[in-house]
Amino acid sequence: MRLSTIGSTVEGEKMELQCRKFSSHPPRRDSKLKKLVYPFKLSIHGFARITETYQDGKELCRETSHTALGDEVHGEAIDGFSLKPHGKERVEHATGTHKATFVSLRGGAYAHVEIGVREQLAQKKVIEQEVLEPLEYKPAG
Amino acid sequence: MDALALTSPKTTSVDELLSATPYPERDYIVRISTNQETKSTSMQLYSTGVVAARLNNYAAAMTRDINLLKSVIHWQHRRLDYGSIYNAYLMDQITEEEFETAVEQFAYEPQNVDPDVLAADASRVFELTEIPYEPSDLADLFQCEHANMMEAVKMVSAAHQEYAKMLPSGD
Repeated sequence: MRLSTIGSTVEGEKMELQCRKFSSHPPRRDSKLKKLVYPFKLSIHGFARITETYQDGKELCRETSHTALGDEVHGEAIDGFSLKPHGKERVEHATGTHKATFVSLRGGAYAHVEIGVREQLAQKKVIEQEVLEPLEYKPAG
Repeated sequence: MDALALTSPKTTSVDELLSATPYPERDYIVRISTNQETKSTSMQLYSTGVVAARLNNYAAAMTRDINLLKSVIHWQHRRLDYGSIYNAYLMDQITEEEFETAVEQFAYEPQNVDPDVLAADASRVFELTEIPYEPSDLADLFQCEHANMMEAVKMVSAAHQEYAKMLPSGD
Protein backbone atom coordinates (compact mmCIF):
# COMPACT_ATOMS: atom_id res chain seq x y z
CA MET A 1 0.00 0.00 0.00
CA ARG A 2 1.33 3.44 -0.94
CA LEU A 3 0.60 6.34 1.41
CA SER A 4 1.22 9.96 0.54
CA THR A 5 -0.77 12.12 2.94
CA ILE A 6 0.98 14.16 5.61
CA GLY A 7 1.41 12.14 8.76
CA SER A 8 1.42 8.70 7.12
CA THR A 9 4.04 6.42 8.67
CA VAL A 10 5.63 3.06 7.97
CA GLU A 11 7.83 0.97 10.24
CA GLY A 12 9.75 -2.20 9.58
CA GLU A 13 12.92 -4.17 10.22
CA LYS A 14 14.37 -3.15 6.85
CA MET A 15 13.47 -0.42 4.41
CA GLU A 16 14.55 0.77 1.01
CA LEU A 17 14.67 4.51 0.42
CA GLN A 18 14.56 6.26 -2.93
CA CYS A 19 14.73 9.98 -3.65
CA ARG A 20 16.51 12.67 -5.60
CA LYS A 21 17.95 14.33 -2.48
CA PHE A 22 19.02 12.32 0.53
CA SER A 23 20.21 13.89 3.76
CA SER A 24 21.70 12.02 6.68
CA HIS A 25 21.41 13.89 9.97
CA PRO A 26 23.30 13.65 13.27
CA PRO A 27 21.99 10.97 15.64
CA ARG A 28 19.75 11.55 18.63
CA ARG A 29 18.53 9.41 21.53
CA ASP A 30 14.90 8.52 20.89
CA SER A 31 12.94 9.12 24.10
CA LYS A 32 10.48 6.30 23.43
CA LEU A 33 12.91 3.64 22.17
CA LYS A 34 15.67 4.70 24.61
CA LYS A 35 18.18 4.06 21.85
CA LEU A 36 20.43 6.00 19.53
CA VAL A 37 18.70 6.54 16.17
CA TYR A 38 20.11 7.78 12.88
CA PRO A 39 17.73 10.33 11.29
CA PHE A 40 17.42 11.02 7.59
CA LYS A 41 15.41 13.25 5.29
CA LEU A 42 14.25 12.44 1.75
CA SER A 43 13.40 15.29 -0.59
CA ILE A 44 12.12 15.39 -4.15
CA HIS A 45 10.09 12.31 -5.00
CA GLY A 46 10.89 10.40 -1.85
CA PHE A 47 9.83 6.82 -1.22
CA ALA A 48 10.36 4.64 1.85
CA ARG A 49 9.31 1.02 1.36
CA ILE A 50 9.26 -1.84 3.88
CA THR A 51 11.41 -4.71 2.59
CA GLU A 52 11.34 -6.79 5.78
CA THR A 53 8.66 -6.58 8.44
CA TYR A 54 9.10 -6.54 12.18
CA GLN A 55 8.76 -9.71 14.18
CA ASP A 56 5.43 -10.01 16.01
CA GLY A 57 5.22 -8.09 19.23
CA LYS A 58 7.70 -5.41 18.27
CA GLU A 59 6.77 -2.08 19.86
CA LEU A 60 6.04 0.58 17.27
CA CYS A 61 6.96 4.25 17.42
CA ARG A 62 3.43 5.08 16.36
CA GLU A 63 0.45 2.76 16.79
CA THR A 64 -1.05 3.85 13.45
CA SER A 65 2.06 2.98 11.43
CA HIS A 66 1.69 0.65 8.48
CA THR A 67 3.90 -2.39 8.86
CA ALA A 68 3.11 -4.83 6.04
CA LEU A 69 5.71 -5.96 3.55
CA GLY A 70 5.68 -3.56 0.60
CA ASP A 71 3.92 -0.74 2.44
CA GLU A 72 5.51 2.54 1.46
CA VAL A 73 5.23 6.25 2.01
CA HIS A 74 5.68 8.71 -0.81
CA GLY A 75 6.14 12.44 -0.52
CA GLU A 76 8.15 15.51 -1.32
CA ALA A 77 9.59 15.52 2.19
CA ILE A 78 9.92 12.34 4.20
CA ASP A 79 11.72 12.18 7.50
CA GLY A 80 12.56 9.16 9.57
CA PHE A 81 15.31 7.22 11.24
CA SER A 82 16.96 3.83 11.47
CA LEU A 83 18.51 2.09 14.44
CA LYS A 84 21.68 1.25 12.52
CA PRO A 85 23.78 3.63 10.41
CA HIS A 86 22.33 4.07 6.93
CA GLY A 87 23.64 1.91 4.15
CA LYS A 88 25.87 3.54 1.58
CA GLU A 89 24.03 5.73 -0.90
CA ARG A 90 23.71 4.23 -4.40
CA VAL A 91 22.86 6.20 -7.52
CA GLU A 92 20.89 4.11 -9.98
CA HIS A 93 18.33 4.57 -12.68
CA ALA A 94 14.85 5.08 -11.21
CA THR A 95 13.15 5.63 -14.55
CA GLY A 96 14.22 5.32 -18.13
CA THR A 97 15.64 8.81 -18.08
CA HIS A 98 16.25 9.84 -14.48
CA LYS A 99 18.51 8.53 -11.79
CA ALA A 100 17.82 8.57 -8.10
CA THR A 101 19.57 7.89 -4.83
CA PHE A 102 18.85 4.59 -3.11
CA VAL A 103 19.65 3.81 0.52
CA SER A 104 19.03 0.61 2.48
CA LEU A 105 18.05 0.72 6.14
CA ARG A 106 18.32 -2.11 8.65
CA GLY A 107 18.01 -2.84 12.32
CA GLY A 108 14.59 -1.22 12.48
CA ALA A 109 13.38 1.87 10.64
CA TYR A 110 10.64 4.48 10.71
CA ALA A 111 9.53 6.88 7.97
CA HIS A 112 6.94 9.63 8.01
CA VAL A 113 5.49 11.93 5.35
CA GLU A 114 6.15 15.59 6.16
CA ILE A 115 5.06 17.09 2.86
CA GLY A 116 2.85 14.93 0.71
CA VAL A 117 2.75 14.80 -3.04
CA ARG A 118 -0.82 16.05 -3.25
CA GLU A 119 -0.02 19.15 -1.20
CA GLN A 120 2.92 20.03 -3.43
CA LEU A 121 0.90 19.53 -6.59
CA ALA A 122 -1.90 21.67 -5.20
CA GLN A 123 0.52 24.52 -4.64
CA LYS A 124 1.74 24.30 -8.25
CA LYS A 125 5.19 24.82 -6.89
CA VAL A 126 8.18 24.01 -9.03
CA ILE A 127 9.81 21.19 -7.12
CA GLU A 128 12.98 20.97 -9.07
CA GLN A 129 14.61 22.24 -12.22
CA GLU A 130 14.56 19.25 -14.49
CA VAL A 131 17.23 19.12 -17.12
CA LEU A 132 15.51 17.72 -20.16
CA GLU A 133 17.43 15.46 -22.43
CA PRO A 134 18.10 17.23 -25.75
CA LEU A 135 15.72 16.21 -28.48
CA GLU A 136 17.36 14.56 -31.41
CA TYR A 137 16.75 16.72 -34.46
CA LYS A 138 15.85 14.76 -37.55
CA PRO A 139 15.50 16.86 -40.71
CA ALA A 140 12.46 16.16 -42.87
CA GLY A 141 12.84 13.89 -45.81
CA MET B 1 5.36 58.54 21.81
CA ASP B 2 3.49 60.41 24.52
CA ALA B 3 4.70 63.94 24.78
CA LEU B 4 3.71 67.37 25.92
CA ALA B 5 4.49 69.65 23.03
CA LEU B 6 4.93 73.38 23.44
CA THR B 7 5.43 75.79 20.64
CA SER B 8 7.09 79.17 21.11
CA PRO B 9 6.76 81.96 21.61
CA LYS B 10 5.83 81.11 25.17
CA THR B 11 7.62 81.99 28.29
CA THR B 12 7.29 79.71 31.22
CA SER B 13 9.28 78.50 34.13
CA VAL B 14 10.53 74.95 34.51
CA ASP B 15 8.40 74.50 37.63
CA GLU B 16 5.26 75.71 35.83
CA LEU B 17 6.01 73.45 32.92
CA LEU B 18 6.63 70.37 35.03
CA SER B 19 3.54 70.97 37.13
CA ALA B 20 1.40 70.81 34.00
CA THR B 21 2.77 67.51 32.74
CA PRO B 22 0.83 64.28 33.01
CA TYR B 23 3.77 62.30 34.41
CA PRO B 24 3.98 62.13 38.18
CA GLU B 25 7.56 60.90 38.41
CA ARG B 26 8.91 64.26 37.15
CA ASP B 27 11.82 62.68 35.35
CA TYR B 28 11.89 63.71 31.69
CA ILE B 29 13.90 63.75 28.51
CA VAL B 30 13.48 67.05 26.69
CA ARG B 31 13.60 67.49 22.95
CA ILE B 32 13.99 70.98 21.52
CA SER B 33 13.62 71.57 17.79
CA THR B 34 13.36 74.64 15.61
CA ASN B 35 11.53 75.18 12.34
CA GLN B 36 13.22 77.66 10.02
CA GLU B 37 10.13 78.15 7.88
CA THR B 38 7.76 79.05 10.66
CA LYS B 39 10.51 80.63 12.81
CA SER B 40 9.28 78.69 15.78
CA THR B 41 10.84 76.57 18.45
CA SER B 42 9.06 73.65 19.98
CA MET B 43 9.86 71.62 23.02
CA GLN B 44 8.68 68.09 23.74
CA LEU B 45 8.90 66.21 26.99
CA TYR B 46 9.07 62.45 27.24
CA SER B 47 8.88 60.39 30.37
CA THR B 48 12.36 59.02 30.96
CA GLY B 49 10.83 55.80 32.23
CA VAL B 50 8.87 55.32 29.00
CA VAL B 51 11.90 56.05 26.81
CA ALA B 52 14.09 53.73 28.88
CA ALA B 53 11.47 50.95 28.79
CA ARG B 54 11.14 51.19 25.04
CA LEU B 55 14.88 51.13 24.50
CA ASN B 56 15.19 48.16 26.85
CA ASN B 57 12.40 46.33 25.03
CA TYR B 58 14.13 46.95 21.72
CA ALA B 59 17.45 45.72 23.11
CA ALA B 60 15.77 42.62 24.55
CA ALA B 61 14.10 41.88 21.19
CA MET B 62 17.41 42.26 19.36
CA THR B 63 19.15 40.01 21.90
CA ARG B 64 16.48 37.37 21.41
CA ASP B 65 16.80 37.59 17.62
CA ILE B 66 20.59 37.33 17.80
CA ASN B 67 20.36 34.30 20.10
CA LEU B 68 17.89 32.60 17.74
CA LEU B 69 20.14 33.22 14.76
CA LYS B 70 23.14 31.92 16.72
CA SER B 71 21.13 28.77 17.45
CA VAL B 72 20.43 28.31 13.74
CA ILE B 73 24.11 28.81 12.90
CA HIS B 74 25.27 26.32 15.57
CA TRP B 75 22.66 23.82 14.40
CA GLN B 76 23.84 24.04 10.80
CA HIS B 77 27.49 23.92 11.93
CA ARG B 78 26.71 20.72 13.86
CA ARG B 79 25.18 19.22 10.73
CA LEU B 80 28.22 20.22 8.67
CA ASP B 81 30.58 18.62 11.20
CA TYR B 82 28.48 15.47 11.16
CA GLY B 83 28.43 15.57 7.36
CA SER B 84 32.22 15.42 7.14
CA ILE B 85 32.28 12.26 9.27
CA TYR B 86 29.40 10.79 7.26
CA ASN B 87 31.29 11.49 4.03
CA ALA B 88 34.36 9.74 5.41
CA TYR B 89 32.16 6.72 6.16
CA LEU B 90 30.65 6.80 2.66
CA MET B 91 34.12 6.88 1.10
CA ASP B 92 35.29 3.96 3.28
CA GLN B 93 37.85 6.09 5.09
CA ILE B 94 36.37 4.82 8.36
CA THR B 95 34.51 1.64 9.24
CA GLU B 96 30.91 1.51 10.39
CA GLU B 97 32.06 0.93 13.95
CA GLU B 98 34.36 3.95 13.80
CA PHE B 99 31.51 5.98 12.34
CA GLU B 100 29.15 4.96 15.16
CA THR B 101 31.73 5.98 17.73
CA ALA B 102 32.60 9.27 16.03
CA VAL B 103 29.04 10.51 15.65
CA GLU B 104 27.91 9.72 19.17
CA GLN B 105 29.22 13.17 20.21
CA PHE B 106 26.33 14.73 18.28
CA ALA B 107 23.61 12.74 20.01
CA TYR B 108 21.12 14.49 22.28
CA GLU B 109 17.91 13.48 23.98
CA PRO B 110 14.92 15.52 22.75
CA GLN B 111 13.24 17.46 25.53
CA ASN B 112 9.56 17.96 26.20
CA VAL B 113 9.15 21.67 25.49
CA ASP B 114 6.03 23.81 25.82
CA PRO B 115 4.59 24.27 22.31
CA ASP B 116 3.69 27.87 23.16
CA VAL B 117 7.37 28.69 23.63
CA LEU B 118 8.33 26.76 20.49
CA ALA B 119 5.64 28.51 18.45
CA ALA B 120 7.03 31.95 19.21
CA ASP B 121 10.61 30.89 18.44
CA ALA B 122 9.70 28.93 15.30
CA SER B 123 7.69 31.85 13.99
CA ARG B 124 10.55 34.26 14.66
CA VAL B 125 13.12 31.96 13.01
CA PHE B 126 10.97 31.95 9.88
CA GLU B 127 10.60 35.75 9.95
CA LEU B 128 14.37 36.21 10.34
CA THR B 129 15.62 33.57 7.90
CA GLU B 130 12.64 33.40 5.49
CA ILE B 131 13.30 29.66 5.31
CA PRO B 132 10.26 27.45 6.00
CA TYR B 133 12.05 24.70 7.89
CA GLU B 134 9.99 21.56 8.22
CA PRO B 135 8.80 20.44 11.66
CA SER B 136 11.41 17.67 11.86
CA ASP B 137 14.17 20.20 11.18
CA LEU B 138 12.77 22.66 13.71
CA ALA B 139 12.53 19.86 16.29
CA ASP B 140 16.20 19.12 15.63
CA LEU B 141 17.09 22.82 15.89
CA PHE B 142 15.39 23.23 19.26
CA GLN B 143 16.20 19.64 20.36
CA CYS B 144 12.59 18.98 21.34
CA GLU B 145 10.08 16.21 20.73
CA HIS B 146 8.62 16.16 17.22
CA ALA B 147 5.08 16.14 18.67
CA ASN B 148 5.82 19.40 20.54
CA MET B 149 6.95 21.05 17.32
CA MET B 150 3.91 19.83 15.38
CA GLU B 151 1.70 21.53 18.00
CA ALA B 152 3.77 24.67 17.67
CA VAL B 153 3.55 24.65 13.88
CA LYS B 154 -0.21 24.30 14.15
CA MET B 155 -0.29 27.44 16.32
CA VAL B 156 1.66 29.57 13.86
CA SER B 157 0.09 28.21 10.71
CA ALA B 158 -2.53 30.97 10.67
CA ALA B 159 0.20 33.61 10.51
CA HIS B 160 2.50 31.74 8.14
CA GLN B 161 0.96 29.91 5.18
CA GLU B 162 4.18 27.99 4.64
CA TYR B 163 3.55 26.17 7.89
CA ALA B 164 -0.09 25.55 7.08
CA LYS B 165 1.06 23.39 4.18
CA MET B 166 2.90 21.10 6.59
CA LEU B 167 -0.14 20.20 8.65
CA PRO B 168 -2.14 17.02 8.11
CA SER B 169 -5.40 17.74 6.32
CA GLY B 170 -8.09 18.61 8.78
CA ASP B 171 -5.79 20.62 11.05
